[in-house]
Amino acid sequence: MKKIITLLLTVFLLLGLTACGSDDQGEDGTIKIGMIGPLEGDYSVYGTAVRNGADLAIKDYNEAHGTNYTLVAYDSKGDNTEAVNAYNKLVDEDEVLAIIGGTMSGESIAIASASQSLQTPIISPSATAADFTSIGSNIFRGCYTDPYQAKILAEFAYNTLGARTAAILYEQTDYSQGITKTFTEVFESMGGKVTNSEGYSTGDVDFNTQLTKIAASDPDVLVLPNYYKDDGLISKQAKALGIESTIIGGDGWDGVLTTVEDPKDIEGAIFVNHYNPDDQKIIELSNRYKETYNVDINAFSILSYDTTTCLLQVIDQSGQDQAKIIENLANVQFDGVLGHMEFDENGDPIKDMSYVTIKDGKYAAYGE
Amino acid sequence: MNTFSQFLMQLFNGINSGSIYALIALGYTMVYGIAKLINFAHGDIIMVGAYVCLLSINGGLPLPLAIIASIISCTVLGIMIEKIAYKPLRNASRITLLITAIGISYLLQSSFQLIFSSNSRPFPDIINLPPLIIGDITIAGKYYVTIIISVILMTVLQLFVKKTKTGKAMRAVSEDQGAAMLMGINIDKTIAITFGIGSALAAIAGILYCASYPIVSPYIGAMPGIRAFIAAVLGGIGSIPGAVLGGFVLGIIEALTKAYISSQLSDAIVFSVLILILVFKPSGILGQNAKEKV
Repeated sequence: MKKIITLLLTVFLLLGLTACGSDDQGEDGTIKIGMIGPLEGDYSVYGTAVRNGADLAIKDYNEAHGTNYTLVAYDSKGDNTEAVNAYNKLVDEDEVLAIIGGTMSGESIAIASASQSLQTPIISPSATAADFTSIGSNIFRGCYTDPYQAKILAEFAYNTLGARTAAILYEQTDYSQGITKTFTEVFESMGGKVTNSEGYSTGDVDFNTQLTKIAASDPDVLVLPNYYKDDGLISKQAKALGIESTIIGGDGWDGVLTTVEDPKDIEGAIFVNHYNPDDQKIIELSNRYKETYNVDINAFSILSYDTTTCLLQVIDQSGQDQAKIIENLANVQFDGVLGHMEFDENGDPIKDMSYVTIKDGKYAAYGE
Repeated sequence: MNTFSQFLMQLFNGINSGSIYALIALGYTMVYGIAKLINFAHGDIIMVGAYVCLLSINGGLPLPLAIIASIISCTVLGIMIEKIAYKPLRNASRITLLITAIGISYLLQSSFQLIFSSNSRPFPDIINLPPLIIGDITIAGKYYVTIIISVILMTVLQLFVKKTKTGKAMRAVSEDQGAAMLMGINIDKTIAITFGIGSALAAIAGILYCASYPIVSPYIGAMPGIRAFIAAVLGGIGSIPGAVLGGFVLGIIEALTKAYISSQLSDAIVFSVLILILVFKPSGILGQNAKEKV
């Protein structure tokens, strides 16, 4: 028995040594890029999309430029504390040069705050909360902000859809509350009226009470500024209660078709998004993505692909100097699959956006 | 829609979610009554029931068979959990059992996450009945079916416990295990049956829950499980009518708070009400005050 234990211990020791060995070797030629996002749990669709997008971008970039970047991805489970733990592990143990992440708004704010002493270059492909980039000059994002998309959504509802009354049903999170706040301000300043502004707790599945109130005021549009899992459920329950308002939402809707049994329940819903599903460059990337990861592409992976490519270009210009990377990111003029992107003084991107609708059970560009 | 039918509609929403809480609370209360154990894995048995039903339907089984498969596998699972995890600890301290129950809950969640990934899957529309229209109130088919099935199951369970021999044995074990054993009641068998019935009810609750809210993920059991546990405590844990009453009371308070006070603060308000009730009636609405034996 003792012999077996000794043997096992020796094997483990050797394994440990080889693991250290490969680590040392890695530091010779490769440059590590960190990634943080929910790879497991309710929001894993977002996290894995960001990871895959970054992974594909790094593969493509290495192939095209003969560089040797590698991705180190850690799971945040969508939890702020886990995200900060992941950040500490990335900077302390893996000594990454820059980080792609976080994926969700809440965790990104947590990481950004934690990064202030070290000033690690951080660029999130998907954190839309307004405060995120104002935390420090090392923080950038590749997507538009919640207030920005909320403003566009309100203008779209009022001008394009001709809506004068709106009801909002939002999850009590940074993301959904952020959109709700700006949407209400902009929509009411144009002369519209928000008839109901109802909240629900994370994890709720029954929205009948709130929807019964909304049905009574019969609004022109029903705004669902939430992540897709809830949006699908809410739309179904709204239909069952006889609500016929046009359903609109933000970029959290992207991915909604994976969780609805019958796409009829969300047919005609419109959401603002980061990309146009009909674009040729996007179609080409989608096909390659599907071949590599065996899942459908979504906005998060495309944003992550573009953001990562942008970061790698900047690193190539700057060398392995984090301060230089931050400086060059602030002045970058980048052209990727989503078109032109540059950053304003906060680190927020200046770029275009698209309107996507559900037509015949598929995503389609609105109005074409 | 006038104010009164709006109120009725909200009351109905409360009864609907309350009936699911009540159905799940039955499992908590039965097990607590007999084994003096708060079985935190109960919520996850709901999840297992939903998955088995979903996979059976996707595998081509007709709906009735899928439901039966789900009930049988949950019953077996419930009995197995009792045999493997709780029975060896029957004489251990209550806290040890409680921690074991939490452990089993995580074990079920994590193993389902490993097998089926954490992605949510859509659950098919299995209840396609026409909506019930009374005046200007519309009640979707799956909601009244949920309420009807819940009420039937609760009545059957109550009759079973009161009228059958096994039910009598269960009540005896719940009152005094030692004395019940001396009277020739097979304690192991009675406890196993209790776990079996509780888990079968959980399977049905899981299917009804997913029929109303058609999304399945390894975590779906957690929220209704906790709510139902609260309902059981509110009604008086250990009491079957108490669990039913607690479920409905909790559902109705929740719905009316969301409707007339604030949907943002509903959880805070609901739980404050619960604390108040428990301050004045610590054993729950229908619970009996346990007398200290001297």
